[in-house]
Amino acid sequence: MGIEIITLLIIASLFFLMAVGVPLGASTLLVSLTAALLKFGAPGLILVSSNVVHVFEKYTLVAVPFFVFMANILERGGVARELFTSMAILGGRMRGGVAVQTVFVSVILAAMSGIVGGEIVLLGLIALPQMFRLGYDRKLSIGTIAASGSLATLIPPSVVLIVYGSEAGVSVKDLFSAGFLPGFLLAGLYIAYILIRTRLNPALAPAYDAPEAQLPFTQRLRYMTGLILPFILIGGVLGSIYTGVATVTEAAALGATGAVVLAVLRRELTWAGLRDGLWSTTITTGSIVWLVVGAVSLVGIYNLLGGTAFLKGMLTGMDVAPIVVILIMMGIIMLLGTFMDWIAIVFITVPVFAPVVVELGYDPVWFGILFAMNIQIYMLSPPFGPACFYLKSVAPKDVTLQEIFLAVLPFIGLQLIGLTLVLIFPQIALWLPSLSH
Amino acid sequence: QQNLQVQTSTQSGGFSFGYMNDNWTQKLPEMTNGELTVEFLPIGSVMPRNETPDGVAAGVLSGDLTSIAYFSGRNPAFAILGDLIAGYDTPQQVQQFCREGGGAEALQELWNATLPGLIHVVGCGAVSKEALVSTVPIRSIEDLQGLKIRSPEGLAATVFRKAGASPSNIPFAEVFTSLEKGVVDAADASAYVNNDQNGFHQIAPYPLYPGIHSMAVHQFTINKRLWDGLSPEAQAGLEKWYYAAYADLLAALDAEDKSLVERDKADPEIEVIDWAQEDRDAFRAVAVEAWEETAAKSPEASAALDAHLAFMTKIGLLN
Amino acid sequence: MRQRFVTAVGKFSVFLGKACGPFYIAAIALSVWEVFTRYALDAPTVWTTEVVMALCATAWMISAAAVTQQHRHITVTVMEIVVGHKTWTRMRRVAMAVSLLAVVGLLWANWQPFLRATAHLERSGSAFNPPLPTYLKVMIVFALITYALQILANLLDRKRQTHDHGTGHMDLTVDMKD
Ligand code: NA
Ligand code: NA
Repeated sequence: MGIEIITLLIIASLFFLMAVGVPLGASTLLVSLTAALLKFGAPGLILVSSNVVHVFEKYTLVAVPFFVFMANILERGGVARELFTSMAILGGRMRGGVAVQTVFVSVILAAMSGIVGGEIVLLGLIALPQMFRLGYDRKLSIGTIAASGSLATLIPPSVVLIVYGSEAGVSVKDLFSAGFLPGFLLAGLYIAYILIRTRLNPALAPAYDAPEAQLPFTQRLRYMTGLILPFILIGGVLGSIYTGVATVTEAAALGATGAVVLAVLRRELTWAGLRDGLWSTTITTGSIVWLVVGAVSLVGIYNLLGGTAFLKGMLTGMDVAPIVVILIMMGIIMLLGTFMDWIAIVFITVPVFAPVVVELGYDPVWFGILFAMNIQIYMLSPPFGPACFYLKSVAPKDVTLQEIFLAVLPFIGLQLIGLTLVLIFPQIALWLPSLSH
Repeated sequence: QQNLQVQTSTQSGGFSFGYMNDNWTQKLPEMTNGELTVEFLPIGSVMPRNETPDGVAAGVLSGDLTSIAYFSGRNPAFAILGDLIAGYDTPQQVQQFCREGGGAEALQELWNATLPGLIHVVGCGAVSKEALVSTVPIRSIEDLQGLKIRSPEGLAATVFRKAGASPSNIPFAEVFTSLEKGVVDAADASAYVNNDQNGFHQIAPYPLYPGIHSMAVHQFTINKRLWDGLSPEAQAGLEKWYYAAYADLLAALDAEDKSLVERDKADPEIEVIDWAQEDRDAFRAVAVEAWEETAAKSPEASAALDAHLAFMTKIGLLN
Repeated sequence: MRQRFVTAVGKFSVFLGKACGPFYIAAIALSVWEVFTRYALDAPTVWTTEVVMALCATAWMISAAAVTQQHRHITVTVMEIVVGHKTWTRMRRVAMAVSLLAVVGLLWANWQPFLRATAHLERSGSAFNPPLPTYLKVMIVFALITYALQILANLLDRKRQTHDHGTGHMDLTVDMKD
């Protein structure tokens, strides 16, 4: 049997199992076990078992529970609520001010948090009811929160960039440096979109009526104190990485510790809250790791069957401009993103794509940022759009998933514009890392 | 015709991987009367790097061409055969040890004890010597006193500690910043060409070349049943092909290193330090203690060290 | 009898899940300690990395049962809209049976490595040289047994199947409040 047929069979059986409702991890496991048994009989099982056990030796993955725990504590600690209030003074009486304020808060939260989830839950609880109450357009409010809340994995620290870095053999620090400007670019596009739309149609956003906004400037300044602690935390995490005091994983541990200290100082962390946070961390991390287990087991057997060589040959053998190959890889990631979790996508595609990118003469750091921007789109796009699911879980009852998916559509358009800009002007990503070399 | 699927210890983008693929894969059919072809697989692509022997034993992989030191956790003997820290002066000596000095036989014995009757050692050898990168000049063994050095590996860390340095286990990805910020003074990183590519010499301008400590020894093993099924001509051809390929790879890597070293010697910012023979001998004397400690941990380790010592005495490295 | 099995297994899975918290706390504390001792005291250790790895690996492995008990493995559930709730409930039973097959298959795959690792201690080979490989190969067998038991319990659970619906897409979220 040729590798083409095998590839199709693997994809078809994965699709079938997933459609029936078998968890992604178990689906990939079953397919790899079956492939190993068909090819080598019982001795072939070592391919699956050795790769599965190796997942539990991946030190890079240690950053995942640390960041998840940090997000859980921040979520319970009320830091975000205060941050949101502080940022209210920026808005003043500007039209669309609360939406712009939401984007700013998201960017600051993104610089603290390495995973998507916590932020959207927070903003869904704090910002969404406020925007609804003030009479903001529902779709604009929902889209703003889902899109800007997803920035956590583009603006460093980012678990997506950490895992990409370890699979592609690229410096995580460079990836982090490269993520800043594209992240700000997307945030800027969101703000521009909000401002333009609310100017064209004032009905979308009534003028801001928060009492803080009408205070004189000196008194408004008092509200800035809510920014101090978050910035200390950001400085601690990113600063420890860039000064070389801590490795990326250690920085995540520092961040988690800092979040606990912050919450304790503010007297907002109880034992029950800590226990809840740990339980939530356990379940979230467990579901991620057991998904990785399946994906990794499939990659080993597929490589031995000649799959990677086949895909690589197909990508590099095409008689097209190199940039078209990049576009095709982006398309594949986007396609996988409609039904698969991001971490499985990293483990399945990066071992194939990263060498191709280098062979074509491109910088794998740049590709990593394109990858992370693609993951931004994946977060929002139906049917598998995690950001939309997070928002649905905390939004008022009358907000349906359909409404959320419709609301994020213009923001997906903005993400595509951002992605195209970084594709055409790689310097947006590569300028910052080039300064440190 | 039999296709050998061999997992290696190199990245698919690495120099060695490309060099072997471009220059040596097509020579194997010629050298074995068309009986064998070979396909190299990058590190970790099929199995984790420290599990390849189980894959070879099961017949899932045809073979592996990989660092012996990866298996140090199974038996300290693999640490001794895999990288005898500060032992040899050149990779040529190691290839000679493997081919004629009883090295390959010692390794075969070790695999016979570990996975009996399942693994055949075709050959072994080193291709390059690791260069040390340092932010301070290290001219002799005295300069190692109190030096903070990145050295993740068991035997190397022991040797550095015995020489008065303080070794630490920092991931490779962190080496650059650690050197830059003074977290460590020196690092046991990689070959000169790789250190150069990583920009280490920009921030650690006192590289030691030729290196003083580490020389990773690779093994080329294949599944025993597969080996027994080959014709004697194919068996001999495979062995000849491997040693020819490794001698050639050694020369190619050496040329790469040397041209870079020449360039850097002309650079006033960088001082390439070459230890005198008596300093190398003094460092070896310190290392011998660490070898003996490791050898005492298992009978196989002790036998492996004896094989080394016999050969080193014969060629005059020890007396 | 059947429901008692379901309850007992569920309780044990939740207990294992709750036990993970202290492992994560210890891993975080040790990582911070390493930064302190390396940066402030100039005395890096050779052991924290591997101990942190072992702590996290343990938590990851033994949390499988709790994740299963909470029905929180990442799953695509769009088909519910297509086939309707009734058919979907039946498909979920099939999906659980398939998951059980996958987990038991993985247990089978890990059995020989488990026997070898217990017969002969495998260490990591680093300067600290802990018996991490053997530990992981033993723990994974334990974890897979609890994982399989919990899937079986979910499959046998009458209560949950009759009134557990409407979660729909929620199964997809990975960080939702329970
Ligand atoms: Na972030
Ligand atoms: Na999506």
